[in-house]
Amino acid sequence: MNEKFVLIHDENRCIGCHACTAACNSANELADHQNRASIDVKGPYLIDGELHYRYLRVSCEQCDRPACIRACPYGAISQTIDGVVSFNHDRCKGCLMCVAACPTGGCFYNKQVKATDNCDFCMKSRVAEGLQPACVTVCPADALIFGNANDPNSEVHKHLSTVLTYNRSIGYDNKPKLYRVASQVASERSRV
Amino acid sequence: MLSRRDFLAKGSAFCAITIYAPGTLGAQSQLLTPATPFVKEINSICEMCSTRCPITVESRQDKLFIRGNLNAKSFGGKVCARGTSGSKLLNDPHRLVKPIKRTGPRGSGMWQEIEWEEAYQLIAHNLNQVCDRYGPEAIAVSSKSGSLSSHAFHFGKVIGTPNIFSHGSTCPISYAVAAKVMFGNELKLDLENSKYILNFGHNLFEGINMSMTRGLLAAQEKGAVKVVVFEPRLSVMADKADEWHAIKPGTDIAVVLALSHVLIEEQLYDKSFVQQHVSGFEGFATSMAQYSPEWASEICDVSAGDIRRIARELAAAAPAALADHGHRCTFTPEEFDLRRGIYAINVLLGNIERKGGVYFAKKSKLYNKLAGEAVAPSLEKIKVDGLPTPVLPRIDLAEPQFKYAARAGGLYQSIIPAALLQQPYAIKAWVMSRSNPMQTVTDRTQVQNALEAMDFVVACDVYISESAAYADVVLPESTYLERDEEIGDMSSKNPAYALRQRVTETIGDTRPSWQIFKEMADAMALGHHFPWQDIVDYQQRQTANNPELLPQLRKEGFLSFGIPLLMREPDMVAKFRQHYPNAQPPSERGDYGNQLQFSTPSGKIELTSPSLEEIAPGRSVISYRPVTLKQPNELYFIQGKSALHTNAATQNIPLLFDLQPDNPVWIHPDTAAEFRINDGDSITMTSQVGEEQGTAKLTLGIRKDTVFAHMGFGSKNQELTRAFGKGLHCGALLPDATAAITGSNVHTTGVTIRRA
Ligand code: SF4
Ligand code: SF4
Ligand code: SF4
Ligand code: SF4
Repeated sequence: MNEKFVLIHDENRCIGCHACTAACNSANELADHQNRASIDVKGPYLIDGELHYRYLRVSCEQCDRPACIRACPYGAISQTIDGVVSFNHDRCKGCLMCVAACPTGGCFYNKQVKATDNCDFCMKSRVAEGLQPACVTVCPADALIFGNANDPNSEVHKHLSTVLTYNRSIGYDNKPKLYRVASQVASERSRV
Repeated sequence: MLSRRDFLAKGSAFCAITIYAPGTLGAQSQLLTPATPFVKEINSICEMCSTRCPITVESRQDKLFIRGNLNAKSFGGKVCARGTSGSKLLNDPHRLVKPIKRTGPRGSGMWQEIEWEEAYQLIAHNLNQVCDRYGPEAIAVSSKSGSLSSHAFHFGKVIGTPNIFSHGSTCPISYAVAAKVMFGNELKLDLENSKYILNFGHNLFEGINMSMTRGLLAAQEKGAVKVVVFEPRLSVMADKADEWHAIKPGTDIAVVLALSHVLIEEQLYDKSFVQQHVSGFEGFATSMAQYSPEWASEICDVSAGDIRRIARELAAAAPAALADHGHRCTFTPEEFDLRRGIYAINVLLGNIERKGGVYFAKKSKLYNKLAGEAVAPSLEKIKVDGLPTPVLPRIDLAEPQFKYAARAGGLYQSIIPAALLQQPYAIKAWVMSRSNPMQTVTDRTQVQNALEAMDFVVACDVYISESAAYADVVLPESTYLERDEEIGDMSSKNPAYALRQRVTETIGDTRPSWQIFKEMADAMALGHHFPWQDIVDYQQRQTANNPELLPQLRKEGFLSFGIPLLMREPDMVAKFRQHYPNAQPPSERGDYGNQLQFSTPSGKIELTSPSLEEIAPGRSVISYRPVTLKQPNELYFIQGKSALHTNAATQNIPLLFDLQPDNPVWIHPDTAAEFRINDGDSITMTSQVGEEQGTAKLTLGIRKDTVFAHMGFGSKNQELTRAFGKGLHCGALLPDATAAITGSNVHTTGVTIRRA
């Protein structure tokens, strides 16, 4: 059975604290002012007469049909059998074709390694050691869930089959493996 | 893989134009890179804020990754953004790694690197001089709280000054004093099991306190809790709550008293609890009778109907319902009765030592007594005999009303008039440890004047903080990742201990604070008052009766003993008694309610406190007193915590600086339109004591009569190269005002704004 690694960001639970951003930065040795993932606290929006924020994770969406790969002239981006898109820093010539092609702003020029880079679900760092990704490890609100969606016993599998998730629509059928749970807070609030 | 050397080299290359202050890591001619042994995991304690989460530091060759220690269940193995960024502090080229002495006027930024020995001699000479001339009372010692403060405070006692201050009066002292007066002890919240939570601007989702934040999340995840937030702005806490009431700043007390009014008037309170455990109920009830919801709604902008409904809902959920006492929280000069009023709601709900209510920490002494045997190890208190007795009383005891506050860490801000006006007597020297009054005490100009008026100032810090920049000598303290410390008590429902230990070799010429204060005492020929050899000796003295505790803690980092116990929960008491056959017999209700003891004059919970009458006439009964927090033409100015920074300590840390470099001012679009201010405009904010520049952030998430900013920004000292001048300095806008009894520095004031 193939593995299919996915990441779920639960906007219900997320508190916009950026522990994920900071942990990723330190685990993946990024420059202090560069991040593979961030949380955009948007709003507040007026929903049913009440104000609410939206907590949007901004990172590589780990497309199943990645525009970045098709754009790279040097074959520096690869997708493994388990679906994870990762950047080969040695092959990258820094032409930024991938950055131009990616519809999410999910890849960026990493000054530390002098090549383009993305959130690779920590495949080359922690996951290779059998650990959870850095962001998932620290998230104080347990808002991030990572695992193999093809494994029926995995938490991500259970989540995807029981909780309503969505993918960010980014203009073409790229099939992201970053799933999101939309905030329910407005409808769950008791009417005053 | 990058080695630390490469990391630092690249790090400094990015800041090639930066000129590092002498003594900082970046200024050292060759970067000091110790060989870190390969270690997989070391358990320790975070120090990026005062919560002190147990952490596990994974170390791969010389690279550190910080996560939570899974042994500490209520912390969930989690850390916040600050916590996981500890390695950024460790490797920051701006951190101080060599003692420095001032060579120009105070605040000029002119420093010279010196050796430790010279620093100690300078300090000993100058402090001795102040002692000879004015007496030891003229030396103030202040420290942030936490384990490291104990050494600074001990140093103060050794030199014989009574003037020892924690940062409490600039942050959490209010609820601590209120709890002491009412219960004789502080209380903890059982958020996780609560069915109804009232929150008065305690933003647990931004001012993260990991176990409380996770407790609240767990309760919300179960879906059985209702959270009601009163806060003038839409914080993340307010966003995630079931109900958000945009209350008028500083008026929470009106809601609090009206809730008690309804609970009493409608006979919704726990009468048998009150009868058994409370003294002064009649006086309290008489006072509450005047505070109807209708009266409150006029003051605070929350509708009378809502207040009445919330009181009824609270009572229906009791005893698994609670009112959160808050944290850095001085909204009003009437803070004392606000916090007492919040505790009074808990008392009326009868939720003391109940699931979903509030409880006292079960330290080993109480726990073992109840168990009838020593089931949890106890720490020895290390006594030092023969310390000098101060001749004069503390400077903050000139007014007897501050008796409780003086015991709870003192009125930090009283150093300012003592330095400038010699009131009640002169303070001439200041020893600061990891404390930044230039940011945390109100009216920055006066704090600066006070520092300039001192004969001698020593600061011990990891950075040349805004306050350290005015010192004569700055001593570089090792970061928490480089030092061992004494064992700390982290008991909650059962006894627990935690240990901070070094996870990496020390960078540069820094020393841990236990060593610094011991060696300072040595230099003053007072070293015999620090009888322990080193911190290991200290730890061994702490565990003299339980020698196996120390090695266990070194391995696990956090250890808890026994099973959770709430004294008025019959289930839990039954389980406890099953576990410990020698346990005390229960009361006829099947619980330990009869064992509850309150160290107050009456031995009961004091809803009114006759003993207060002597030190503060008219204050024994909880009452409402009108206050003026702003002029009619002004806006309320309020502040709060961010999830990315701790008060005044982390603004310069790489990464955290990048994630939040400044503090834009929240303004309601209608208010902004009135002043022709657009989103992102530069604005000038003026209060009665200062004027500050900031950036406008237009948001619907704030009252029209209020502006908000996160605290800790706008440093005015060049030494904090990143944070310098970024954002608006809250302390420069807040006038000096002290709340009655609690002695806390008031954080709400009036301001005017205009486009810059
Ligand atoms: S760490 Fe978790 S809660 Fe915090 S911002 Fe990231 S996803 Fe959200
Ligand atoms: S989000 Fe962008 S970088 Fe990530 S896989 Fe898709 S196209 Fe590539
Ligand atoms: S999965 Fe790994 S690389 Fe991606 S954001 Fe999380 S920590 Fe960073
Ligand atoms: S809340 Fe964050 S900064 Fe504070 S101790 Fe815990 S991890 Fe460290």
